[in-house]
Amino acid sequence: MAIVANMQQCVFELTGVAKRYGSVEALKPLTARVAAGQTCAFIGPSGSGKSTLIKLLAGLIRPSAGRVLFHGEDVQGLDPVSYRRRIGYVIQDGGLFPHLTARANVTLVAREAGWSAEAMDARVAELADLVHLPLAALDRYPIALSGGQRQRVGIMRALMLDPEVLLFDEPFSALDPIIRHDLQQEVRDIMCGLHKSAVLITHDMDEARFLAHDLYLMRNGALIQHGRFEDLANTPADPFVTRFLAASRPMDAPSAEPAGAQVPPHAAPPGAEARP
Amino acid sequence: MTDDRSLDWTRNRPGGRARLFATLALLVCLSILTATGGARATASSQTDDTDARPVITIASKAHTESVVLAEAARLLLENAGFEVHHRAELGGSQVVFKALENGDIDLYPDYTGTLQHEIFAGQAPGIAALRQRLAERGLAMGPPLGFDNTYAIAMRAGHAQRLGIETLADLAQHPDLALGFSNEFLDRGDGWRGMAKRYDLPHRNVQGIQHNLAYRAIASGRIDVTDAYATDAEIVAYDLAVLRDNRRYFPGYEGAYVYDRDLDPRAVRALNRLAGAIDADTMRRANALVKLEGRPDGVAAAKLLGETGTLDVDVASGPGLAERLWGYTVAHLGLVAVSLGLALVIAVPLGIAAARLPRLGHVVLGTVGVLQTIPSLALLVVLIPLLGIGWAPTVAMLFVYSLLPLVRNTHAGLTGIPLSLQHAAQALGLPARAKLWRIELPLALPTILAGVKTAAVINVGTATLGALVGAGGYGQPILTGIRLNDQSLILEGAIPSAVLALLVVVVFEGVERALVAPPLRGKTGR
Repeated sequence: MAIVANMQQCVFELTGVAKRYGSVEALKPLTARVAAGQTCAFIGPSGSGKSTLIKLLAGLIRPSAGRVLFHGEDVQGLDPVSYRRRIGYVIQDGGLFPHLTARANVTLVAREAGWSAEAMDARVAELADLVHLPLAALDRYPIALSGGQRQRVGIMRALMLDPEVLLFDEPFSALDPIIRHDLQQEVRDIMCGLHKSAVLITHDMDEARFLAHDLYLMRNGALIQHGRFEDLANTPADPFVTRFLAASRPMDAPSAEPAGAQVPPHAAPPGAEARP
Repeated sequence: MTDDRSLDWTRNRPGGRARLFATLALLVCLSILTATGGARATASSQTDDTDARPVITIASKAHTESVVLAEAARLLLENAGFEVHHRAELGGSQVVFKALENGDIDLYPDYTGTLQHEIFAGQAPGIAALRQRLAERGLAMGPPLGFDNTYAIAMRAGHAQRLGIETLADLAQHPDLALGFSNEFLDRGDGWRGMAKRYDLPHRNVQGIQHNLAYRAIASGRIDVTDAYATDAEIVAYDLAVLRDNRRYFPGYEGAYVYDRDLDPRAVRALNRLAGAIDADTMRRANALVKLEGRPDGVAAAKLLGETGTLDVDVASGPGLAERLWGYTVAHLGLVAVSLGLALVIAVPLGIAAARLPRLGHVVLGTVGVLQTIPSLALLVVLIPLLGIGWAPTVAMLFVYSLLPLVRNTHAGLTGIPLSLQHAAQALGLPARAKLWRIELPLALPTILAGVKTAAVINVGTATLGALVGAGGYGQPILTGIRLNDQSLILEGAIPSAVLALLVVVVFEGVERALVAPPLRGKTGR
């Protein structure tokens, strides 16, 4: 199958990656891969190790064991500044710096990288259009923006340097449900249009399934099951999987998923039709 | 997350830790160099300036007679063609003598008794021995000026005359007299106890009384006899009679100038014109002019020189209030600004390092905390042997006191940045320097500025102590006011000092408005 072969091209490859803080094992040895052009979600309750994982991917912390490879190169061996400019990092509530206007937040790194004012203005306009943010909002400080606007600005900031991969660290958890739903929809559209690889960290199975092709369900620092949503639903590896799926999305039966595993999830996300 | 941040620090910048330490060490060295260099420069500019008139620095102790005698020396030396600086009310005997030994000053007036008992602790029994001891230290003492400011036992003049008391021995005939002595005189071995023994005094009615109150007590008749210094102005003012020490019980406290042996011979000759010229009465009148009539020290000195036929000089009554205040303000602001500037250069990088490296942070915060607990006067005294007198030890003291608020607030400001923002800053791919300057310092700025404000206000108040070591500033009128018991003079220093502290607060609020991003304003925290 051509698509499967394509998927073998990895953005991230983790081999036996573990992280411990003193005697606490935050992440047990994990092997995983993020295929190019796809969105991969790590899901689990708090303490599952998913936050540790995304910090390892971003090179913010150093693994205690194993290696994190980015296009086949060990992240630890890369220059951290230029590496981080190749990834876009989106965090909860946008993670905006309160002392800078929305525009200054978005252009912070580009300015540091020596972009011209014209280039920055053009890119900001393009991104504002992409995330549906009114240009007037860009001259406000984060405190004067709504939660949804802050998150949009956060996404603009992550996309500013046109990174190869996006890391979403619980991006929607601070938003109220209606805004969250709209933004999830938009992010999915954006990701569809950009054809970028992405890693999503979330505790929300609903969100993971809506945005990602490939799911890693985690608990207590260990991987419980890896697969598509229907794999997890149909052949749960553990009673925890069933419980987590039930708790997360009680009304949806797995059988409601459309058939056709070959279809890229961005084009036809599982459960898209079932969403309210 | 501290673990991660320190990992990240070392990883992001190869040898980052070493470079940080090297930078810090360099900064410390530079600031010490500039501080001591600055002090040397000011000191040497007063002695080594060969182009202009030769410069002589005089000091006086913190009591009126010393200031008047120093002023008299200033007038004589200026008349002889020298440029003279007078560091008035520099401190106690030890401080002033040390300053002379260190070469910070060239001369000051002292008493034979003080030198023998306080400076040489009984190791110089006679005048010849005293000159020998001074010579061993490269110093010399001029000829006695004529008066002997020894302990004096005084009574109301009329009372003494009625009872026929002229000498201390006569006191023994009147055992019912009420005696009131200063506590120091009561306690000293060579005070009351020795005197009672020498003169076989039978008195039982002996009480301790504060020296300044003693004059009022004797004037009102509450006590009949008290101790005084022979040239106290109050002896004239309260019409007291000094009883003759006919058995030579009290040691001599003859006034004389003590100076550096290398002092210009022309200067020595000029000073020697006062040899034996000032009797106790003349000295008393000069003291009274300052202490009781509130005339400037210089005026009293000029009058003293005129009365002794030494020098006819007209002294203006000193600069006006505005001119004086301007002078104090310039000196005071200089002390505060230089010490605060130095502290900023050292403390902010130190605070940053403390925030980056928790273990170092522990040591740094502990150390500056301990420094803050040293009493300011003690610190000042400890600094004199290292830095001399005047500007340098005062700036060093204020620098030390500025460290805690600055280091602590820089540390608190940086470590108080929410973890999510620290992660965002890191994950964006900003170089370490940009991360610090664009993100961390601006976020910590309100807290850092609050620390600067605290340090500045502390400095404005503490800088008044600088006057004790001759650094000038608002402390000078306060010190003189205490010496002369003159409330208005004390307020001349205290009010501007308080106003300056308030101004500092206003100025820093302006600075905050100018520098801090609007959403962060008013969140100065601690």
